Amino acid sequence: MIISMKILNKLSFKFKLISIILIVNIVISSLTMMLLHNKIKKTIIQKIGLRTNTIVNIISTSAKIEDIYLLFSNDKKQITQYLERYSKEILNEPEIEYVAFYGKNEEALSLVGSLPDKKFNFESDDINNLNNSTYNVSKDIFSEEGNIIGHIMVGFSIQNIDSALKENANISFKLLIFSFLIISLIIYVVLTYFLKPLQLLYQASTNVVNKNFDCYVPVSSNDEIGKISEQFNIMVKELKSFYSGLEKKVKAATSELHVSNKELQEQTIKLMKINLQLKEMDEKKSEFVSVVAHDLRTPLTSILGFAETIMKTELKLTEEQKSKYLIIIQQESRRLGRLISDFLDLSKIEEGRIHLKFKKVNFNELVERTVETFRINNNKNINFVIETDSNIAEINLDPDRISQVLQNILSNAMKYSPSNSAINILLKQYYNFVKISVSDFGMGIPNEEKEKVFQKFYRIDNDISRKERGSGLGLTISKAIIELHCGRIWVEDNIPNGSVFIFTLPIRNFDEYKI
Amino acid sequence: MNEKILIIDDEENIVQLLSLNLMCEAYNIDVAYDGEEGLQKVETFMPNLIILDIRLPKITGWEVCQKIKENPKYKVISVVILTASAQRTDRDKAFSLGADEFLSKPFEIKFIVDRIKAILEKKSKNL
Repeated sequence: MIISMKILNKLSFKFKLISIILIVNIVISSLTMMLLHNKIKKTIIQKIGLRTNTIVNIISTSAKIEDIYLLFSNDKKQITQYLERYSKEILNEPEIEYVAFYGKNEEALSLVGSLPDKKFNFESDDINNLNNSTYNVSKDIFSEEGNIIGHIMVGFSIQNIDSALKENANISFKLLIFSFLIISLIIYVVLTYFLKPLQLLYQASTNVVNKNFDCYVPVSSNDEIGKISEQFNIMVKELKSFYSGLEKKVKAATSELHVSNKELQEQTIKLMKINLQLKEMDEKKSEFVSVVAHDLRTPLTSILGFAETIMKTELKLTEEQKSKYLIIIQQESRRLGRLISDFLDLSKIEEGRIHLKFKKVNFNELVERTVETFRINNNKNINFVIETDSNIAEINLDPDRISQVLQNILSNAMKYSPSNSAINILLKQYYNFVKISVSDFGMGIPNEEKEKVFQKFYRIDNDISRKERGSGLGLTISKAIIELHCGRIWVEDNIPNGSVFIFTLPIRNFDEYKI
Repeated sequence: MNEKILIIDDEENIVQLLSLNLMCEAYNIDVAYDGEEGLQKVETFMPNLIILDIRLPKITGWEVCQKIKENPKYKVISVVILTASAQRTDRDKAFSLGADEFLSKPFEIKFIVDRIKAILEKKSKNL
């Protein structure tokens, strides 16, 4: 079953179609022919039956048996002679094989011709069961009164008829075969012609598979095949545009991917950099915190230590000593307070949380007030000299913070100035800014350290700074404050020795300043 | 015999505080305000014990400690590190450099004095 299915699948469409048509044709034709053949045979034989009956009737009638009997007054010999002569005449007809007369007692009167072998029964052959080549017809001979006076049997040759029929069948069959071949050929040619578009369709499909989208099938008819071809063409067109669209999309997507990949890489690098920066910042912060802790502990140590010392009665301290130590406690407490303020300021600056309160301020007055506080606490006997243009305008600034800056610069100057020296404060107004310079005659700052002094925790290591050590943040904070005012701060050398700390502040309209 | 203590710290107040409280325990005190000066005084003063701060100008306390402990001549000197930065790592570093004690600021005077007394007594017993 499976093998036959396989074979069936492999045969071509044409072949299958032709085979089916032929098979159907053959079956129908053969059946028809067989039926026809039988019918014809029957009819013919029937007619033969009728004819032969008629002939035998004629023969028996024309024999005039009754008359013969009368003529020859029952002389059997003469009757037989006459009948034999008569039969021989009849036998001239080629179709008649024998003629046999029998008396009323079934005695043979005349037997002429090629008689059949077997014994007679006085019956005609069955027309329909004609197997041998002789058809035997038997008839009773009647007298005028209606008495049976004898029998006649005539044998007819039907060989010709039979062979004629057979020949006819043969020819028909041959014709049939021939016509089948012609039909097959015609169908084959016609199919080939009609199926040509299918062949083209197949080729076109192959092209499409190979991604050649420019193949189209000619549409030559409006039948099923034509419709398929038309649809095929439309489909190929769609495929073409889809495919090229797809290619474009893929290209675009790929290039987009490239771009975003590149961007991603760049982003990753950026992120890595930021990560590094954050790590650095984190380290710096931890460092900062430990420095702060350290710096705060130092004055605290003095405070606790001297307090404890004063309370130690076994030391037997003098009142003078006790006062001295109490002053130290005071100083160190103040120092602690300053350190804490400085640290807080610095932390605000680093996080951008400093809020400046701007006011229009008379700069001269501010400077005067600040310098005055230093004049009061002047244990080094320093001469503070202020030089100024009297017509310095009102400047927009945060007075507390600018005062803080000035205090920081002045205290540094005092720290590093020898006793009895002078500190000069010079104010000058330019077109759109004001400049203030504070000069001291201390040891000065070497060039490589002029920028470093503004850095966090930077302290110049020397004996003088030791006793009154600040946090190292003063100038850092001052710089931040000045820069938030959009000014500048720097240091130069003083002649012949010492340093000049200078900062500038822009003169601006109130409105331009809103931060 | 009065034992000698060298105090090396750049904070004048601290130095004053320590020397004051140790002198009345009958120790001989000398001071230095930076690492270099400190090393010089070790040579000249030959103390039994050094109180050493870390935050010093010129050379750090760590260097001073290392130099003292490396020198076989100073083997008998006890080194007490006294610092305001009391981080764990500093403690470990101190002992890895051979310091005999690690104390932190701020401190109780009594505590410091007792510790120093204990170290010197132990040293003198061992000798």
